[in-house]
Amino acid sequence: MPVIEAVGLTKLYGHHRGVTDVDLAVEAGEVFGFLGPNGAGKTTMIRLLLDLVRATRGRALVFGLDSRKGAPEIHRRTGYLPGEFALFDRLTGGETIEYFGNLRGGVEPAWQRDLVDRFDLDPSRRYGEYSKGNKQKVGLVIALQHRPDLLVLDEPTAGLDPLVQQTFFDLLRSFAGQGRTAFLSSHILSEADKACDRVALIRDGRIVRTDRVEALRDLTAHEVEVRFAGPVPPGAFAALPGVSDVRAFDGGLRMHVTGPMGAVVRAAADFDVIDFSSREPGLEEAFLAQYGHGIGAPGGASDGRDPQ
Amino acid sequence: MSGPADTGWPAVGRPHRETATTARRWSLGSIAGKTMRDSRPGMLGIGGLLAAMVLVGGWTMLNTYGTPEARAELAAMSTDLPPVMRGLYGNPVRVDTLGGFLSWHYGAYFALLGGLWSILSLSSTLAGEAHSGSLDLVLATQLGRRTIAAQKVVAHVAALGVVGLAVALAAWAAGALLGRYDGDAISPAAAAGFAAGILIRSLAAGSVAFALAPIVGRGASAGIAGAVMFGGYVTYSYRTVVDALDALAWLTWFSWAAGHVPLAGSWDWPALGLTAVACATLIVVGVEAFARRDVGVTVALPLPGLPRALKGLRGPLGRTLGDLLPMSIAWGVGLGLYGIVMSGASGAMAEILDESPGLKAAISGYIPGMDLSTAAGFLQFAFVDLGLVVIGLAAASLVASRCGDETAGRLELQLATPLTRARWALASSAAMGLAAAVITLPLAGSVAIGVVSVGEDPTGPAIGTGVLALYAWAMTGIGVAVAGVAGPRRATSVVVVTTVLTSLVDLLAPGLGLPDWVEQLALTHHMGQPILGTWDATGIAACLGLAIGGALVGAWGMSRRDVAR
Repeated sequence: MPVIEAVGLTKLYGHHRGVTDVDLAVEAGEVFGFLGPNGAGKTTMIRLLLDLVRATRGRALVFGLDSRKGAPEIHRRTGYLPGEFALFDRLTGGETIEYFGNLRGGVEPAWQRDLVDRFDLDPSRRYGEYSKGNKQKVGLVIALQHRPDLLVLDEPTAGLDPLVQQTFFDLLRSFAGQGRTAFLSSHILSEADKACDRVALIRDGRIVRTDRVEALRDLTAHEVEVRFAGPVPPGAFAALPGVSDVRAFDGGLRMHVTGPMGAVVRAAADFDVIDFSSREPGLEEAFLAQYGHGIGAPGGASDGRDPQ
Repeated sequence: MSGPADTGWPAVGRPHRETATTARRWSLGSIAGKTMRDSRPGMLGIGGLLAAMVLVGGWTMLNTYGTPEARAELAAMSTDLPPVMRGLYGNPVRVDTLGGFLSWHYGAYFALLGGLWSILSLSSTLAGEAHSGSLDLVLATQLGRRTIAAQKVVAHVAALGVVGLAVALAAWAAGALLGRYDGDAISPAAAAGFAAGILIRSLAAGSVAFALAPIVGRGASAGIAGAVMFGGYVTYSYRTVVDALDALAWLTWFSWAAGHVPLAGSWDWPALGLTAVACATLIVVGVEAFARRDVGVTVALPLPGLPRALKGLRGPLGRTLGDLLPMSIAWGVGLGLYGIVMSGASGAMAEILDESPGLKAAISGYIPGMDLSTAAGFLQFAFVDLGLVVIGLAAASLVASRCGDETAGRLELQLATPLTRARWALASSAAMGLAAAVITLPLAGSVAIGVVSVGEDPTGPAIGTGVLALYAWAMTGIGVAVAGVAGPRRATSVVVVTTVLTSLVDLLAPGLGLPDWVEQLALTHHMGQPILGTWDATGIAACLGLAIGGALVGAWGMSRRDVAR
């Protein structure tokens, strides 16, 4: 049974689109990335899963429970970090964490202290006096302190310095290693690339692709650069399957190659090759390709449906 | 390389296109234009309210004092009133004319309402934006800090000018349409002078807030300015009754410009000019403080924090109450001080009435069933009506704070725990009820002390102040219901409007000759005379019904709608 399941999930805010016909399944133990540009519908999707907003059509199940009817039980097992949040300015960070621990119950003080230490948070300062990064740390401790079965994180590393980001990713890996599930939204692709098993790309409220991170990378062209001892005409490569955008430079050729590399290697072997390099695309390129802005863009926009 | 033609940018060093003059003045083309644009709802609201009060006041004069004999009685009564009674109204100058009556009966309310708006505007215009962070973006433009601050003030003064224009037009129209006798006509110059007096006295209150806001922040500056304004009003009004206040009365602008009553033919431009100079000085202090200090860095007032046990870390009821307590204690202390003044004044009133049996008989005829020579009778007469308005506004502030949990995003994280929406709605409603009770406790104590000091039994009056808590519960119930069903952003406005309308209906319906059922609609009409020990069961039931029903409706509505952000 998927930990998160959305079927035809649609949210409209009056005439404004939130998300449209979202079908999605996140399995136990997965770290699932929900990626998209600003305004694509990532936060709406998260708020639907947590029953903070109500669906116009369709349904969302979390732990097999209807997100609306089963909200208290879902919330009991879930840790949530909103993308933007405010807390009580007059309480200290420690008091804030304690309050949310009391609302949930079952928080182990030793684990709570351990989290505070790991994130290097000074819990004695008033929340209103914290920097953005320290406020984010408080939010992360609140989300993690009850060892939830599911983590729902909206832009989790916003405002964190690289060291604390590393601590967060270590915790996330250890969390997933225990069979727990994480659903994180982001537009910072490198962090999804680093942390996620699978990702869904959302655009204009619709999921345009869901796949494993590696599979998305494979959809995107490698950038291949071959240096030769003498001049080589671009035409020798332009007609090969999967090859596009062949450009000559002083000493060689650059091209985009989608799919198997064999034909290119065999064609290069006909000449005097000095160097051959192929750069694997990151999720960033895959993402940009999906939106028609990057190398190897497969025709830009899709039909807006999840191909799975 | 992309050039200017590709990017649409001007060449380096070339001046940008000028912003249109109309946009600079009225819209998004300048700081002042944007501030004016943001001020429109408040400007229209307060201008409309004050103009309506002028016209309704004129209508009341026409209906209640429609004959020469009635006006003669009014004039006699205004001069015969003991000082303590005069304090409740204004300076009585030619009150037998329409303009004199308006100035006497409503003048202080105009200055207080205008001052309240000015405080809220000028305390938040820079400090509020600094707190939210939006000011950083404005400061990152080429505009200097003094320019920004000055434009903000200019825009507020312009907005006050629009309000003043509405008041002047209403006063002139009242004279033209509702005047019946010689002296009722109001010249344009008198109307303008009246409006100028309101404008400058209102700005005085706002200037205090503006001067302090860069130093102590938005909330503290608004609180201090509000205390200065209301404290000044009380000090001036009761200076002839309480010796200590008489020594302080010269400090308040209510004293300085007391002789400026243009609608009654009394002008005092030098006093008004002095007030204007004080305003300008305070504004310069505010501009300089803003220019010289770190933006958004404020001095924390040395107020004691709540003990840990009262911070409410165990659940939503305690947490909401912990957040509301500082505000309710501040309201309670303010009301309590006013209660002490009024209780103390009751002794002076009793002495005056004992010395003048004729006056006592006249007042008994004017206010039947109420013995003003007793502390309880005086408090019931002089304190409860105003107290209900104040506690209504206090309830609105509690509703605003509670709704702020949702609009600021604090609620979202709480509702992502096993806490249900309905439970939060009910718990936070209960917390507001407790906070309202906290407001009335200092008042009950101060009234008891004041009543004991004049040698009377404090039990009845102290318990009677509980009527304010009942009324506050009703108002918070309305706010919770509106927030639950329609969302948090309208709830506070609805409570303020309900409070003001209820009070106006109760106050004006008899004078306007409105049908009885209209008067019955006002909740304040059903509150009995609790300081005298007479409670109205209908009013109690209505208050409790609104409080409990509002909480239930709010919980129901909250469970059905999206959580706002």
